[in-house]
Amino acid sequence: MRRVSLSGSEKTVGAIWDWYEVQSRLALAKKSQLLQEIRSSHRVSDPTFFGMTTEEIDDFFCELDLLTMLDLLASAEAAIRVNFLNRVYRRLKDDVSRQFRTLYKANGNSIRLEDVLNVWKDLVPAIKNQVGDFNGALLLRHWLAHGRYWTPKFGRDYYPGDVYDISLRLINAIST
Amino acid sequence: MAEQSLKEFFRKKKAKAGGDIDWAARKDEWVQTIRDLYKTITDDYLAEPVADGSVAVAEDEKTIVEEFIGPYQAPELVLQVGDEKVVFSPKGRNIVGASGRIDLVGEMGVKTLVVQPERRWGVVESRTPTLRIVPLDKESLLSALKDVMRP
Repeated sequence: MRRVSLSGSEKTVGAIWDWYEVQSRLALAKKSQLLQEIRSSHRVSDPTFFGMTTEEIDDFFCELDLLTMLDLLASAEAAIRVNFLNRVYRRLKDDVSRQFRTLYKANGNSIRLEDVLNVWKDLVPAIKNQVGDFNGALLLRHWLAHGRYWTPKFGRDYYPGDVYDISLRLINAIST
Repeated sequence: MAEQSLKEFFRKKKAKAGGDIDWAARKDEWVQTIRDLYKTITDDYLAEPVADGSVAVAEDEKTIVEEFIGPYQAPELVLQVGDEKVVFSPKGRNIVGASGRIDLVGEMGVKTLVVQPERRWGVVESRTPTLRIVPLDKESLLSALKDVMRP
């Protein structure tokens, strides 16, 4: 079976979080300026925002949070898949790696992320919660990645900090 | 000492923020500006089509909730032409760059009307790359209606 050529270009959740914090500060400054313009009326510093209500301004800047969460989940997916492939290619002897090889033989490179996570959940009960939390966040990932065309039911609210924690906890758990 | 610092902090903040804004007065003026617009539309711009029965005009109410102002009722103007409806739906007083906004909502799209200085109404033709607003009159209203209604 043809091996995946690993790029080594994947972003870490830490790098994404640093980027988000900087962008977030810039966005807040811009948002504050716009809210000030609303209160004082009639001054338009940026026509992109002309006519927007405060609610629409909130929605506009909420995009940064949504895109960051997608990036964090994509980064975590990359870490999980690279971990999977490394265990397969290196023919490690632990139970998880053996089960991964079986999955790999059956599915090749088109293995579903959920199937990889199920192996972790079934064979390493100690990280069941981390896997469960990440599986829940995958609903958000699918909704974002597929263009948000359906009304989502996540069972909880997600913010970038939550997704960062969920992703990092799982990455750390499977990396030990 | 800490109390004095806080006092000074808020005194400076207030001075920097400028005078207090009478949000209730802003809201009342905004609602009156909407009513004046609807009167101009029904009594002037649409007087003839209303008189000959080709368009029916009705008013409705909607609740708007805005920061600083809170919830309030604002009138909507509904134009009914056969089985097609167009609504002038106020979005809010507190918007970027103008003193109020109404969306003209039809089956085929939405046009934005804004209140400019001296309570003049304008139709937003484009935001980017160049902000273009044309004064609201019979001609621009016709153009806006064509944009949001079925061909």
